[in-house]
Amino acid sequence: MEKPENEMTNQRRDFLKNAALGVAAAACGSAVCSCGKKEEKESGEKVVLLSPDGELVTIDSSHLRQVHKTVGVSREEARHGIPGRKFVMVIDLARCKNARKCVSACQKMHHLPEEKEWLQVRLMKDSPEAPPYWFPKTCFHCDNPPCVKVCPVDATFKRQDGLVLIDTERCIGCKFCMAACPYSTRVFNWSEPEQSAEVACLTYSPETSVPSKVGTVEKCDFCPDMARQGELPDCVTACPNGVFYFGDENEDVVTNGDETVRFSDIIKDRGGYRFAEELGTEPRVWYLPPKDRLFPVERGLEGLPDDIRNRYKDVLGE
Amino acid sequence: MTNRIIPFSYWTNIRLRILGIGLTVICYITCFSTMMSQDSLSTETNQLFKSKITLSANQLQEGSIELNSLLRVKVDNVYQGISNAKITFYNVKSDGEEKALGEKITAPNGKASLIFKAADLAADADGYFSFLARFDGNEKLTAGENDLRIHPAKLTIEPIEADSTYTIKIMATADSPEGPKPIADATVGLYVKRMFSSLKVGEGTTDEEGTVEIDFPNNLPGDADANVVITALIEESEDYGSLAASVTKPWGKSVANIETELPRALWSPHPPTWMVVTFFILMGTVWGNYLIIVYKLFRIRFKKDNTHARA
Amino acid sequence: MMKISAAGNQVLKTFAPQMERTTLREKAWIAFLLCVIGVGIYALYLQITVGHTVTGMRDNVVWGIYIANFIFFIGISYAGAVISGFLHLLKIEWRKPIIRIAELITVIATIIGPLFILLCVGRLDRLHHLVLYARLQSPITWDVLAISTYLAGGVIFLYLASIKDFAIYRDSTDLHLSKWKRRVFKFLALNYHDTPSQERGIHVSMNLMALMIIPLAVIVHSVLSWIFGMTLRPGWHSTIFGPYFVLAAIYSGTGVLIIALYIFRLRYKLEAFILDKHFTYLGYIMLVLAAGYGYFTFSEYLTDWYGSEKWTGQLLKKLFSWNEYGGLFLFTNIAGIILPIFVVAVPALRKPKYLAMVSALMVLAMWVKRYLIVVPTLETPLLPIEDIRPEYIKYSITWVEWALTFSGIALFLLLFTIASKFMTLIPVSEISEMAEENIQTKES
Repeated sequence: MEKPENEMTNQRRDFLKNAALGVAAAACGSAVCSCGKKEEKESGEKVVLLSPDGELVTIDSSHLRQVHKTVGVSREEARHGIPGRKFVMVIDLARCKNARKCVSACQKMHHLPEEKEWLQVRLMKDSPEAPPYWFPKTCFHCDNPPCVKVCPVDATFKRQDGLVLIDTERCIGCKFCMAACPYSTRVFNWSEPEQSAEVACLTYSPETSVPSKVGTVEKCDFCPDMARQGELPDCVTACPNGVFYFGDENEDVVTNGDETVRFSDIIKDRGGYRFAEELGTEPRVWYLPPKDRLFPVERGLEGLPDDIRNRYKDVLGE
Repeated sequence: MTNRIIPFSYWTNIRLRILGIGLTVICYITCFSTMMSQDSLSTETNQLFKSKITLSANQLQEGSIELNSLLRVKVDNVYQGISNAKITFYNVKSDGEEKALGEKITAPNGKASLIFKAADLAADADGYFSFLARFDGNEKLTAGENDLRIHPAKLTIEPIEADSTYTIKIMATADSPEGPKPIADATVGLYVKRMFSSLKVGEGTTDEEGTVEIDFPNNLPGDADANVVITALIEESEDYGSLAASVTKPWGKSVANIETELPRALWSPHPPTWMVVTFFILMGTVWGNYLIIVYKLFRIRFKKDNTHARA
Repeated sequence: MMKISAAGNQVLKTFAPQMERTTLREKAWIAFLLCVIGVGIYALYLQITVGHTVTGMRDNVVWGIYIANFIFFIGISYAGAVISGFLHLLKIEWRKPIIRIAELITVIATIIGPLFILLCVGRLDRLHHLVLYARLQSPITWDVLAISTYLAGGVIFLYLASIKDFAIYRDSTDLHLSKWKRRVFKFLALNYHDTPSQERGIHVSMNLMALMIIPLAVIVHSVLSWIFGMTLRPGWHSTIFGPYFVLAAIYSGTGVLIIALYIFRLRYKLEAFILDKHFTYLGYIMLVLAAGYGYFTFSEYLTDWYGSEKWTGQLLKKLFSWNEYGGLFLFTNIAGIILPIFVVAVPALRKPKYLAMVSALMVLAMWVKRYLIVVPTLETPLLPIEDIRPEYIKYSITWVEWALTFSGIALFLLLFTIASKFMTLIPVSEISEMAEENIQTKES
């Protein structure tokens, strides 16, 4: 009772300060926890970085925020598309050796767990006598997309620039689009997706498809956020053999990063075709037949982990 | 002032303090553990890495020069770009004096580039410019530098249009005190700028006069106004670095199929008209009938009926 | 006071104990049903909190038994819609004792069916998007519209056919109802006092509804089949899928009606009202439908098999092979087509007991058939499945899905039980002279 009043207030202020700090810390912690899904696995790939205080550090590339950045496009713009573009992809089957760099790049950039493949490399064998070949398969972004037709809520939509995207904040998860897609392109989040707290807290855009949301459908998006920055999709740049060509059909040009060719020329000269044309879906992805291959098909099996190799058992007749 | 405010009792004070301290400790632990668990940065220790820097130049139109540097380090036998490093570019005078042109921070791929006007650069006796790109190094990385000597030169580009055939005339000249000197025997590539990269549409070699004419294809799509950006380029010549010049001409084909509004279709947000009409007819008929029946039920409920119950 | 025939009085007397109080046995029965539903609610809780990973559905087989149940329940809802609508329009007298049960099946099954499609939805919290962002091009939107319209129609139809009864319950002095129940009936009976104009109103409305409920039912099941028919998948992408589903639905609806009549006849001793000839007539209807359904089945698979397109061939191989779905496929054809025809065709077997038994078998076969439509097709994508996770290759039903399926059935029975507390299962007002004669012959 004898204590002067100002000392009292000081104490109170201290207390409040401490409490506030504690609360802040707790809030911080809980923020991490609330978004904190399962921790992301290390990719094993290292990146050299010079920190601002002059330290040279190697860090696991999965920790680098090479997240697909939201480029600040509004939801309407994301639904409308990049003006004047008509994206097209050409996949050169003669060059693919199942290096799977496209798959891992795609997974890294979209923060997908290992078992979730938006981009698959399949081993195809068209008939018992036909030779097997590697077949990388993205979303075909069809011009007559069966998935978009059946969506009851306009969650998956066709854009003016040719892309078929999904708004997972609108998707109700009826999975009708998955049943309708003849190419097994789409994947569903059957449980809470595996992604780090940092990723889970990112602002979602249909153009980045990050973060994943439980109970919704997702798929390959052709990385439109990269295109807005004039950069190629991640699978294109990651491929060591230049299998993927990407470009704007309106400009009649596709590039795999190294070579730039006219789209109409490469399709004409190399006998380009679209997969399962008879379905009438009009894919925006073209294939160049596996003629004069760079690698024998067996090269694609070298060094594969067992679980991935086992996928091809049926085709190889093992 | 009346002693109305009852101060905290001694024990309350202690308790509050303990609470405060406790919260502080929790705060520190939380922060610390967050820091520890954050991106497990592994700092390489006791080893000085050897950095490697390369430098190239690109002479642009209107006397601009672009210097490009690439800073890399070899980790596990693979070169990797170093991001976030400071690169200083210099113009080296003939007396050895270094004049700083500017500083740039490397991008994630290790690249940094600087564009500046060539006008106020000092040339040496032979008319060459000397450049230097330097990375100062730090406790983990060795310093590194690379120099480059180029002779000022330029490409001039002249579009020629005759009977709907398009030709690009290019003249390559080196600057000299006596005036422009033609560069002969240089390979010039002709490119068109596209969204992600440039498409090569032609190639030629300069003659004695330093000129070359390259045909431009007339079936190339341009933008909405048929414009194409055409670039002539001599790549990585020993004396001049890269030389580039661009021009924009309406030589392309205007792309007609740029859609702004999606058509009425099964796959668009706008349903086909017949579908909307059918929907309204079907729904209107059925629900209209429902309404009639509900109206009849209302009449049974509320209409006074004199003939109460049949005999 | 409403006029009641002697037979009507008899009916009222039969069902009065049921409506007046709930016996211990019935309470136990309701408790049992609630337990089954409780397990289902727990399963649903898991499915919502943990995610759909607790079901057997995965990226290839995106729909499982939920959607099979959905088609099944909408299918049996045809019992009332078509049978009573059709028989009403043709003014067939013998329909009168059975229409109430048929209409109850319609309404209750139409309530339960859509619950199963909701179970397929990954984000139940966004269900309002179906209205907010509705796309008219999607068969799901068609379904939402068609089923809600159909349900409204079924409710109106059932209500119109019950108003006279409600008025009777309201006025009856023999019925010792609790106060609140009588008040409910007073409300439900509107102001109905059997005046000629009121009766004409009801009559005209009934005709209108009977006329509408048939095309509505056809549209609903066609639309439902188009969820499958509109996709580019073998076994689904078929032009006869609409009529095929419609026919299968009426067929299974008739089967369920026969079973229900048999059970209620046994339970409430309704031999005076539900006669053997009802079973015989329904048996004839079933025979015709079985033949039609068999014809559609044959036509569908013959066409697919004869054309032998590669993708379709892969599906048929699974349906015809013993290691895969051969056994089930054979079962659906024997129990779903051949047996019912045989039992109805042989006069010695055309007895309520055998008809009820073969109907039960047939209804089960029809459920299996729906499973065979949904699952094998989804297990056969255009690009062969390249996955080594067994649950992604082959669908297997988890306990969660079974629990929810059984709670669906339990809910069906529970709603029926509740309904039997509020109305006589045979309409008092409609009961005909035919039944009256029957009572007299029995009593004498």
